[in-house]
Amino acid sequence: MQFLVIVLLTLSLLSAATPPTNFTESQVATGLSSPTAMAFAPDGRIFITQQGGALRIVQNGSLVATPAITLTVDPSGERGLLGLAFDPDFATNNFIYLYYTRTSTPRNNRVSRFTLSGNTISPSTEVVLLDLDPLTSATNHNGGALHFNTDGKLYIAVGDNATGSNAPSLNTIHGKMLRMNKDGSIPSDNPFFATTTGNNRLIWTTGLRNPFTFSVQETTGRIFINDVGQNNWEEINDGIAGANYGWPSTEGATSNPAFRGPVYTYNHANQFGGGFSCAITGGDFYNPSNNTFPATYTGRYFFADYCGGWIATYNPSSNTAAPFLTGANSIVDIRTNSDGGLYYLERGNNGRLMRIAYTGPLAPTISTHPQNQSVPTGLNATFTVVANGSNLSYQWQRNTIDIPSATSASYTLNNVSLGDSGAQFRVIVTNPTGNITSNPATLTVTTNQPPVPSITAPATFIGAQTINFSGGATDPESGTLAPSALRWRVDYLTGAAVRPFVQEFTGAGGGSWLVPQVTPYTLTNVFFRIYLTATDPQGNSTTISRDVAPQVATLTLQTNPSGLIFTIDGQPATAPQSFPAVVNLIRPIGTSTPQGSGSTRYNFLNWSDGGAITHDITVPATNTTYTANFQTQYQLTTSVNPASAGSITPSAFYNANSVVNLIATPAAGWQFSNFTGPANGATVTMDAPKTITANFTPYPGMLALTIQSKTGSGEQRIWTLNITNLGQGPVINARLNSIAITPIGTAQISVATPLPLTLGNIAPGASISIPVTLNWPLSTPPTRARMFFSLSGDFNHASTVTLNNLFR
Amino acid sequence: MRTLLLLLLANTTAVALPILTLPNSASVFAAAPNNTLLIPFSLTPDATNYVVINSVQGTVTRSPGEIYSILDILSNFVFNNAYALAPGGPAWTDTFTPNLVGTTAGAIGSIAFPASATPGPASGNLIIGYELFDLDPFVDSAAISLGNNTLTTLFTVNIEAPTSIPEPGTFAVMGLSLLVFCISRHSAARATSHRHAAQHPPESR
Repeated sequence: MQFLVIVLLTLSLLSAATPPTNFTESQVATGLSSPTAMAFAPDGRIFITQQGGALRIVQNGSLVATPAITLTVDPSGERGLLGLAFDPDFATNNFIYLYYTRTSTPRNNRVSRFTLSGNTISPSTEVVLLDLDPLTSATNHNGGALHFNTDGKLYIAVGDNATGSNAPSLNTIHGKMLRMNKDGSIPSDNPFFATTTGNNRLIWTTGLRNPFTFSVQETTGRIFINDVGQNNWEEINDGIAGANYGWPSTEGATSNPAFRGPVYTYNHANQFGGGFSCAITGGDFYNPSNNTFPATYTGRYFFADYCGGWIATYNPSSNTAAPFLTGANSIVDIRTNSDGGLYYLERGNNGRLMRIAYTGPLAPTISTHPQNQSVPTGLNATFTVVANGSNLSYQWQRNTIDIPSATSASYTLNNVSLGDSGAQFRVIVTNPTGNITSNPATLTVTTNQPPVPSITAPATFIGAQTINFSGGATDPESGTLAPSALRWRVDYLTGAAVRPFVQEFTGAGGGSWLVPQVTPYTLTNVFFRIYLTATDPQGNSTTISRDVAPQVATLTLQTNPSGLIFTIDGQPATAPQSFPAVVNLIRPIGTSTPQGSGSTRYNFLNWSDGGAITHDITVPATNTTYTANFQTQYQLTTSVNPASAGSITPSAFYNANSVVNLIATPAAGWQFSNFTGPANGATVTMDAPKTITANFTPYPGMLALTIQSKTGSGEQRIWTLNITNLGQGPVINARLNSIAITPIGTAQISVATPLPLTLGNIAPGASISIPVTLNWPLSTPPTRARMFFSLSGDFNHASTVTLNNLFR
Repeated sequence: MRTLLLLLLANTTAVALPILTLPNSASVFAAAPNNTLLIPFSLTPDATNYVVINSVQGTVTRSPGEIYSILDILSNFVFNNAYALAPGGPAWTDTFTPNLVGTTAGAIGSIAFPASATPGPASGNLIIGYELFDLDPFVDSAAISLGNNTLTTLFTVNIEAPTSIPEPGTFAVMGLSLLVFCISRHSAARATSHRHAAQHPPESR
């Protein structure tokens, strides 16, 4: 069955897979467009290739929206961006290797190295390592998987380009597993290096049809090659240098000694609880650094079938396979992550990345076994085990016999005697899922008594102090030991961290060190620990220690007013804060200015010790308060009403309780009226944020009205009125409200134009014209009228203009 | 056709439009606070057409914020007396002379200055709105309007310092009485001969 056909058969329906009991699966990412392969970066990011050329990243559980790079590829058939691998030194060089189909003529697949920057790859970083042989028109059987092996070499799986005769041929690299140095050069120990030329020297194995995926067992370097079969058999091949896996002469198991048969093969019948199977498209060993599956899965090889939608496990030890998961949709890759999860990549289900985790109980494991002990008579011997798992119980044994009440992680044998010498101690760790027995540890009891050392040193330290320490040791058998029998070391303990401070030295009766005055470890949970190990001539040693604790005083940092932000050691905090500090350390304190928000702010004035806004202090030996003083300022917010009628003292911050003169300046045609807000006449006292508005009124306008023209005939006449502002100031929002008509005659005259008419603002001296339509019945003699025009505007402007002797 | 001809004539005789003058020397008046100023005028007729006064409007500005409006007397007089200024006649000149009781003197308008008026020069402007007719529209129903127009003039009022004599309001009361008298007299004259009155402005001579 051709893989191209398989691709076309991809189901689009979402479906849920069924993992075994005590396993759960969860979706990591979805929306991947035709994914082809994945790899885990050392920093936890998951990189996924899409056939169309995009390299996607899943970071912190989310699919990054923008691809790291989108290559120009030929994505037809089974071509495209098909494989990726991280450089073994990725953490320092950010190299990533990609396998993709170029759009060149003729087409060919290419392996290139790129350099990642953040979540982005610049195309300019591409270094071409290998251009594979030109492709025919066949778009299938490209292989495409890339992985580094533990030997530091890059392995490249290449399909036969749908030409079976390519697979066994040493004249083409199609149908092969290739092996190259990561700089693109060819390893001289490749199996055909001496018998071929050019790129054919890259050939590591032959006889492969379409090795779409393969996997490297990190603990052993073993390679399993998943070779997609034709009509009948899918193969898991053991990667062996120089091997020929038989394609196209054979498929599936073979007894032909010329070929290396697969370690496991399955046919296309229903397999492992799934349906019709057609192509092995993913596989990986389960050997994560953090093993979270039951121990029986360790070392198993998980593999998947594209059509069957299943995942099975192959046990290399027993050469048997067993079902694991069914119901997945078009799996294209399987990878084991260092977090212990098994990830699989679906082309179906809208392109998903899924994670399978084990949630059931685990049998215990031992990470640290009990160690052999050599103890003088009369002293105690303690054996300890470190085990992993839940609900653990312990049973210690002496010479394989249970020790009553010895049921904790440690066992101590008190007051040992020579009769205890040679005894073996081990522990059985048990939980409801299983048990494990530790390695035995042997107790050796000696008659020699250990030396007794002593240390003289100050109990406390302050910054910049020189600490002198001395000591010695006596031995019950040898008396006072020479300084050459003494070994010294000083550690600096900061919280839970232990930092070597004075390197180990011998041959001296003491020493000294200078306490730093500037240190990043500014808390008081720090101390120095002096270790002295004395060793007697018989080799017995005793180690003692003495702690030198910090001298502490209370520092208080305050602001005036309180509640503002200060910094100590560059870290911000809200005043006041009191905290213990190591005496005589130099520490920076500071603050920022201005502080506050909105209409109240605080400007830094000074520190109580006279220091600059940020300065160093030396922690005094007595409790001390440092205060940052601020000037409080309030914002005066001013405005003008109406907005364009004038100006006022601008908005600004002023010192608290200062008196601000308010200055209002009218614009042309306006006059100042008054201040509204908390003004006291023309001043305002800034004892709080204040808002003041300067109100202006226009100088009086005076509207005159005349007839500009008359048009129209019959009974409807259009009169154009000319309205002129004869006043000193503008008329704001002028309106013609009404026209009252007193006719002289019998006709009833009415105004057809809807009133009021909005005229807008009319500046002094300006005129506007407005048409007004009158209904004026024809009559004889011609009717004459007197009209009263009612005009108004804002700021109490009102006027009535009378026009007499108006004829039709 | 007739209307078109008349409109063309009106346009071609625009230079002969009525002329407004304020007969005081350099158009300067004097007024006292708490008194009313009445503005005399001289109105030269249009050479060809009848003039009907529509409105008298204007202001007197003493200082920013101190503005007084003109009360229209002339167009009210025209309205109440159905009076059109006939073409080609002598100028219609009226000088308000409150002490000459019995005359037909009139004013173009009045300005009332309150007691708080600030002494000193004040600038005034005055607009007369009028309409031209080929015939006297008050008499002949065939009269055709030839268009509206305005006459504008500027003048000055010197507001005097307040004095105690005469008593506040004396001039205003006297002026109002005379005005009522004049209007009643003109109304009587119009009732007897409209056409005559139209051809000869109300005589004050």
